Amino acid sequence: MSQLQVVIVTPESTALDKQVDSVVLPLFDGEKGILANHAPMIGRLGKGKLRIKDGGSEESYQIDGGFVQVESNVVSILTGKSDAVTVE
Amino acid sequence: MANARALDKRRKSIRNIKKITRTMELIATARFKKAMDRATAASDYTRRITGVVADLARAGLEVSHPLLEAPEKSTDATLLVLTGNRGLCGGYNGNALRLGMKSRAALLEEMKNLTLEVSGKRGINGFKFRDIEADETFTQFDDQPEYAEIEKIANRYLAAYEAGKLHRLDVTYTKFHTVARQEIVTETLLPLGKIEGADTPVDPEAVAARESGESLYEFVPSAESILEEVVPTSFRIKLFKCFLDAAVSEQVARMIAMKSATEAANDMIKDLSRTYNRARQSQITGEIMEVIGGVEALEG
Repeated sequence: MSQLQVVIVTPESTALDKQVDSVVLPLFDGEKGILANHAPMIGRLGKGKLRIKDGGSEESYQIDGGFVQVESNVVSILTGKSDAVTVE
Repeated sequence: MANARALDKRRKSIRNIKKITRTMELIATARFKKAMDRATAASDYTRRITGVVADLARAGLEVSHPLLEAPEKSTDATLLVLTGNRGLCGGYNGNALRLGMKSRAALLEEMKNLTLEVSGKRGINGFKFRDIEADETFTQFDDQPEYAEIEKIANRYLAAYEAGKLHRLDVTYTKFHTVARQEIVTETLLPLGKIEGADTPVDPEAVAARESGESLYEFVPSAESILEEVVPTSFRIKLFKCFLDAAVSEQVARMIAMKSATEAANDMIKDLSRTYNRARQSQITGEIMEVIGGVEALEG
């Protein structure tokens, strides 16, 4: 299965940058799953859990607000609440 | 002729001070690098936000928001002056304070109510010395200001602005251009005026695509909703950048001040050593003369 790159950027640092299988985004009005070759999209993020699946493992990050930009297999997540981004 | 021992004592104390200034220089260098890394990370974030705004503008969406427009009334202003918590950094705090005073005087002429907010112990004390009491003070910002802390301050400003209690926000801080050049400026952050990327020319194809529902980008939930969030975010990041720039500039200023202090100490040690050697020499000569004089007196 083709993969996509996920990048989490906060004003203080780039919290994550890696190749994964799929991402589930907590959008402003509900969750949305992103797989490889998704159509270009800009979305507003809400409060919730960002889940990243790669093979059998799953990681999740708590985020609160921000934006997501999906373009040519790169998912850029811009979130301000850097301190709320924690690995569970 | 100066006393050789007194000269030696002075030389020793200068050597000790040199050790301290040298260490402070090294610490400032390390802190500067760290602060610089953070500033770079922040500009990466800014660049991406600008990209989102540019995409919105390209799709023909008019970038308008209450934060971008000048309010009808203009009676209440806030001036935020960013200084350091510590001294020994050359003219850094003094310059910020001086421009802060000037901006304050200018704003007082224009506006009816002025709220003065100061960050950094040096600035707070500087204003106190001039009999000006700051309405709000912050001392928690050092060389690595936390975004979460600044966001709180930014949200307070945004709430006041939206409620119509604040009509203008000016920030006096030291802008960092390069290691060799920092500039002390007063910038108006609210109203925001325009946000970067907003003047991207409208691409007619993108507009047509958006209207027919097959845009280059899909905006979720809608372009307007994104815009509603993008504008306050770019204000927050702008304020954060001010704090970061001030932190980086402070470390640079300290680095340079301590470097020249170390160099001055070196020069002084050189000078004192020369005088000390001369004094010691003449003391020895004097002693020999005395001994010879004594011998001659005995012989005679």
